[in-house]
Order: sequence, then structure tokens, then C-alpha cells
Amino acid sequence: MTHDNHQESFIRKYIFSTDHKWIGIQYGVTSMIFLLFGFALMIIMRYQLAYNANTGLEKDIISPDMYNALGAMHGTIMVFLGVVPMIVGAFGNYLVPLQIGAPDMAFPRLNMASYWAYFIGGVVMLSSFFIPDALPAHSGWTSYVPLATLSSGPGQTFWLVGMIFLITSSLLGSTNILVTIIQLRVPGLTWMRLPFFIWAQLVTSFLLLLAFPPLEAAGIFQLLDRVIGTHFFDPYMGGSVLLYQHLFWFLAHPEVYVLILPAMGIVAEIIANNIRKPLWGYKLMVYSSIWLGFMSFIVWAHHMFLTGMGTTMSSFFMITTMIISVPSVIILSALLMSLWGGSIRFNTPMLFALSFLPMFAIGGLTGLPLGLATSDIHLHDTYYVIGHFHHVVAPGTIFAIFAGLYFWFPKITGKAMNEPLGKIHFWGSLICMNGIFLPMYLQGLAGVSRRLANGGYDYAHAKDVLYLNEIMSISAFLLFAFQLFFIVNFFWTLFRGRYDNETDTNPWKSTTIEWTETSSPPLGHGNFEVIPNVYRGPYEYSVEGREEDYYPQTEE
Amino acid sequence: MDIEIPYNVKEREDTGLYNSKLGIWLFLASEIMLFGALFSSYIILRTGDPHWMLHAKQAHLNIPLGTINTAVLILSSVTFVMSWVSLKLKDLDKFKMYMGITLLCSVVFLVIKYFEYSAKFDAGHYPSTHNFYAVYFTMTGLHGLHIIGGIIVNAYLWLPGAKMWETDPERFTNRIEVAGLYWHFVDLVWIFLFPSIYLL
Amino acid sequence: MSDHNVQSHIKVYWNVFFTLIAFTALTVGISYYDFGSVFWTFFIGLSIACIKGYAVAGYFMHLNDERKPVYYILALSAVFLFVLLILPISWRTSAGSHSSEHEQYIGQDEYVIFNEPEHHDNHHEDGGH
Repeated sequence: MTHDNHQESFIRKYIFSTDHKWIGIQYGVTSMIFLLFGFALMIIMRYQLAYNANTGLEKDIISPDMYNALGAMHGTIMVFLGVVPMIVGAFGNYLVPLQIGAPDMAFPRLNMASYWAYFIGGVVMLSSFFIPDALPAHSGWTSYVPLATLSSGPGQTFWLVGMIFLITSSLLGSTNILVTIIQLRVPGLTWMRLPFFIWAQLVTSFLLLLAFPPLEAAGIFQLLDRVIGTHFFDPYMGGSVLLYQHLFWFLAHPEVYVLILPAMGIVAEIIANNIRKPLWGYKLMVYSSIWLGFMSFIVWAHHMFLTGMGTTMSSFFMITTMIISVPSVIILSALLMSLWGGSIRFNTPMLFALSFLPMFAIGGLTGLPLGLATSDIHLHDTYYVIGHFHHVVAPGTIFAIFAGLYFWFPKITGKAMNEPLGKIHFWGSLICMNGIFLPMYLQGLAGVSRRLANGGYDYAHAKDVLYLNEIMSISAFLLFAFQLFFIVNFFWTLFRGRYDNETDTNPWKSTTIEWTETSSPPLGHGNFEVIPNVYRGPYEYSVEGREEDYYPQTEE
Repeated sequence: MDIEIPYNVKEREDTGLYNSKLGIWLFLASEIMLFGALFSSYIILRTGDPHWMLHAKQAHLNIPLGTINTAVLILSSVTFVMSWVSLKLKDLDKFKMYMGITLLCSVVFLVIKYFEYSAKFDAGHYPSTHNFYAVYFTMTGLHGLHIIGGIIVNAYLWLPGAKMWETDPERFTNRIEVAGLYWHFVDLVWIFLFPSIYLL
Repeated sequence: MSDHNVQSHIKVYWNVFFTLIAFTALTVGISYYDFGSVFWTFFIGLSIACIKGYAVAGYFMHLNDERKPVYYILALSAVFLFVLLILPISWRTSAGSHSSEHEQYIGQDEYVIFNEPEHHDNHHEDGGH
């Protein structure tokens, strides 16, 4: 492989880089900042919910409109600017080429374009906080019409424009990942020898590719309604309110599988590595993830059970929703069953990955009464829903993110994060997460609605569960505090970490290509000195007759 | 800094495709979903509004102009294919001629659209007048934006981009094939858009 | 595609072009003819569009000679496109028929029933108010 000897300018190397590893880091750093910011918005909200004019304060710290703005932006930022860019943009971009033996993504310049589109979208969204005399978008992350169309100030318009940039970024990114996985696998890396992480990214990218366009259409319609006075969603002028909901949820349901699949991919890699035996049911997991991806397109209206659709439509969506729980349970069960007979190592990444299993299980199970139309009548739009989806994304996906960060940190930087700090971070976060979200089910069952700026104080049916507000808020503040252990660990390791990347580029003793064939960090230009060939599957641990308890994919 | 990406030009054996061809088809798949969502919304809005046909008839969409536009776009499609064929037959001048005609047709399409739109505005028919116009302007407008995007790419490939013919003719030919796929898709959308909005 | 192949395709491309123009003229001409039923009007109009579409996709876009991965991707998109297009039909048919003279149209998603007569139980199954 020939190398150009010219020195790259700072701008070409660090700002407009086309190297997937640097772009992955750009996505990672940007999304971490957004995750922290989105979390901070929620801290303000949780303070308001626990301590407001009704609980003894002189006055509320924020107005109801501001509460709504924080809520809408918290959701938007966490989903579209935080979690997805992290698990797809950061983990996906960084690891996919490395795990399949490719020198870079299929379209490096497109990769750069997708990062900058994301960045611009993020700037547009953030700038909505600075509009003079006006709030950011405050009609929920769902931006339902007619509330969003009629909402005061330009905040909602900023949201719509920001979304257009984010959708563009997503489109470019998912195309890139798909072509990379399909075309750039090294010789010997057949479909059934791919790490499960790659399969998860493949299915996720198909979801992003095909599900986002209807939301794009909905966004354009809403933008036109707001800006030039069209009536797409105006019921008094022949428009349709429900049209928006159908278009929105057509994306937003697959979007939740976008949130969970890469997380399952990360968890699978870490569990396989730390049980020192192959995953149980690899093929089953692969087929289930494909089935899950496919089904995710035909369940969306379970978010709309209370809109007055006929019983035929609601039965259809209820049945598909019940069916879709099967593949996700299969994946979870396969991961659980893999633990049996394993030589389990309880390092920090493994603790986060293991806890993903029961946390996702709780979140998934609480989804069942929501997916059944009859019970949903009582639970729709209550705190039960908030508890459900946070359990899957917060101690679910976000724990998978932490697991992945602790796990791949040595590969990306050549240094290992501190274990004791990591364990404190883990236990504190696990307890606090449950302290925040478990009480939500109780409030929801009591009938407390979501998006209430004073936490349900005005409602008689909420009286007995109001005390939970303070418990949840304190848990949230503590959760925030525990993240400091991660932040300190992260920067300390980065600048003072002790680790010799010359002697150990595979500290976890993993079998997959990114660990066995690259330096830590991998080579700047093309990743591999020599193109590896693959001879076996991704999880050949504890193979009989071998001295080492792992058999790398690329070893002859 | 250009890393050697495999299968950029040469096809990969098991898939039979080179990277950008797979990439453009994936992109077109998402475009199918976008225009599909627009068509679906059109059907929902139209079937739910009893006043729709009233406005549709009043609008007097210019069928002759729309028909000419359809023919112009179809012509641009065949000349695009011919420009690719010319490259396969190693004739750069023919390529430039055909691509030039394609670009000319695209501009004619937009000019006709301009006349159609201004006629509507002069008659006081705006997207906000009624959903019929909202759908008409939005769908043809988005389609028009795709035409503009195509013009930009094709113009680049016609002039400055054509320099690649000297250094890497096969890769350049592939670029034309891939750009062609996009262009034919834009034509395809119009083939459905024209009858759905103007005729039916 | 080899050079010889490409040469023989030139004639095909121009034939497809003239066919497309002919079908365009046909579509426009037919649109002035009254078929009597809405169904047949739409069916014929859209069928002609499909034929033209197939010509563009099959010949200009070389789909007739494409590889399996592309077919799989398009098949997948076709399935989801079908779901998107089925939505309007299932919506309009499942939300109940609005034929009562007591109903007033106030917008796409809402029908308000005034002075509904006693027999309201047989309206129960659908979501209309």
C-alpha cells in the first residue's frame, strides 16, 4: 500500500477529516456533549417536579411553557442528537470498518458530510434556546399537530429545519454503513462469521434508510403549514391531523429499534468476550434481528390506539406488536443463556453489559400492556409510558454505550480506564436509574399524565403518588453526580493514563479483527498493515486443544 | 489523502456490484419511501376532502405544458443513457453532446415549470389556497428540487468532472452510470406524478 | 457490459424512448374519455404509468440485467411502499362509513353526529364519534 508523504493541514486532518476513526470520535464527542446537555435539561425539569409552588417554594423555578420547552428538547436531543449519533455515528463508524477488515468506510467523503450535517442540525436545534423573547420548540419531541403548527414563536420552525439536517445526515450515514458491510468484508468473512455487532448495525441502517423519509415528508408539510400557511394538517380546511401522526410514527417506531439494536450488538460483543465461550444461539440472534427489523415497520399505530381508529386497524397493530416482542425476547434469552457455563469476568464493561439484560427485560415487559389496546386505554400518555421507554433506553441503551466506551477505550486511545472508578460509576448509576424510573410505573398506573409541569398536583387521582416525585428527583440528581466518576475517569485516563500500547493491543484477549489486527489506536491511513483473511467465526473462545482460551478470526 | 477503497471501480465477485452502484440504489430505495409517503399523503388528503374535485377542476392545470414536460424529461432520460453508451464506446465528444442535450432538456423542464407556477400565482392560486394546490406545489416542487440537484451533478460531470476521463476512464463511466440511475429515477417519479395530479 | 452488448442496446434504448412518448400521448388522450367509473379511470391511468415506469426502470436503469442484491433491496422497499400505500385505503375503510344524514363534516378526522337516533349500539364497533 503506497502512502502519500505530504503533511495534512490541521483542518484536513481534524476538522474535515475523511478518516472513519476520527469521524467516529467527532460523532462520539459531540454526542456525549449533547447527552450531558439533554440530561441537564431533565435535571431542571425534575427539580421543578419535586420542588415547586405547590410543595412550599415561593414560586416555580420555570414557567409551564418553559417546562414544555425543556421536555420537548430533552426528548429530541437525547434521541436524535445524543443516543443515535453515539451508537450509529460513533460506534458504527469507528468499529464497522475495523471489524470487517476494511481500510475505511466505502465513501469516506460522504462520511464527513454526514457528520457535518449532524453538527449543523445540532447547532440549529441548540440555537433555538437563544431566540430573543421566544422559547425553543415546546410541543413535545413528537411535535403533534395542530399544537406544533400553531405554537408561538419560531422555536418549532427551528426544530423542523434542524430535523431536516439530521435526517439528511442519517440518510448519508446509513447508506455508507450498508455499502461498507456488504462490499468491504475481507476474504473469508462470510455473512455468518460476522460479529453480531455488525449484523445489528446492518439491520439498523436499513431501518434508518427506509423509515426516515416519511418523517421528512411530515416535517416538510408541517414546515409549509407554519411558514406559508398551507393546510395539510388543518382539519377545518380539508387537512388531516392524524396524517401527521401516521407519518411521524412510521419513522418513530423503527427509530426505537434503531435505539436498541446497536446496543444489543455492543452488549453481545462484550458478553461473548467476557464469558470466554461462544455466544449461544448466534444464528438465532441474527435471524431474530432481521425479523425484528422487518416487523418494526408494521407496528407503528400502537402509538395511536386512542385516536379513534377502527377495531380492524387496532387489532392488526396489536397483533403485530405482540408478535414483535418475540424476536427481542429471543435475542435477550440467547444472551442470557450464553452465560451458562461461562467463565465470567466481571470487569466494568461486563457489569454494564450484564445489567442491560434485566433492565431491557423490565423495559420490554412493561411495553406489553401498552401494546395491548385495551390496557393502553388506561396507560396511554401516563407516566407508565415514560417509565417503559426510559427503562429500555436509559439503563438499557445508555448502559450499553457506557459498556462500549469502557470496552473499546483501550483500542481507540491505547490507554485503559480505571476499574474502581468504573465500578463506582456502574453501581451508582444502576441504583439511581431504577430510583428514577421504577416509581414512574406506579404514578402511571394511578393515572398521572405525562408532560404536566407541576407533576400532577392538580389531580385527585395523583394525590397518593405525588410523594414519589421527590424520590425520583433526588435519584436524578444523584445519577448526575455519579456521572462525574465517568467524566473524571475519562479525562484522567486520556491525559495521564498508564498503558503500553506497544506490548498489548488486545488487552481483553478478544477474537475479533479490530482487536487482533490493529494497533491501539489503529493506523491512521488504512487501518491495517496487511489485509487480514478470516478463517473462522467471531466467538471461538475456549476451543479444545488450544493453549490460549481464544482463537482469533484471522489466525491461520 | 486518498485511501485505496476496494471495489470502487471493479465489481466485487459475490455481489456483482461496484460500491457506488449499490450506494445509489440504496439511496433510491429511500427516495421511493419519500415519494411514497408523499403519494400516500396525497391519497389520504384527497379522499378525505369532499371539496377536492371542485378545486381540482377550478385549477385548470395546464395539461399541454405538463405533457410537453413529460416528453422533455423522457427525452433527457434517453439522451442520458446515450451519453453513458458513448463513454462505453470511448467517444468523449458524443458523451459531451448527449449530456449537453440532457442538461438542455432539464433546463427547459424548469422553465416550463416556472411558467406554470407564475400562471397559478397570477390567478391567485397559492399553496395556502386549498390542499389541492398545496399538494400540487409541494409534490412538483420537491420533484423540481430533485431536478435542480440532478442538474448540478450532471453539469459538474459534463465539464470539470469530465477531466477524470483522462486519468480513470472506467471510474468516470461508472460515475455517469450512477448519476444516470438517479436521473432516470427523477423521470420515473414524474411519470407517476403527471397523471396523478394533472389527469386523474 | 461489453462493447458489442452496448452497441446492440442502442436500438433498444431508442425504441423504449418512442414507446414512452407513444404511451404518454395515449395517457393524455385517454384522460379525456369518460370510463363511467372512478375505479376504471384510476386503474387504467395508473396501469399505463406502471408500464412506462417499468420501461424506464427495466431498460434505462438496466434493472432487467441487474444483480441480486439490488433486487433484494428493491423488493424490501416495495414491501414497505405497499404498507405506506395500503394505509390510506385501510384508514378510509376502517374508520366507518359516514353516511348518516345526522353527521356533519368538520374535517378529515372528525365527524360529529347530531341528534343521533336511539339505535346507537350497531355503530359501536368503529371509532367514529
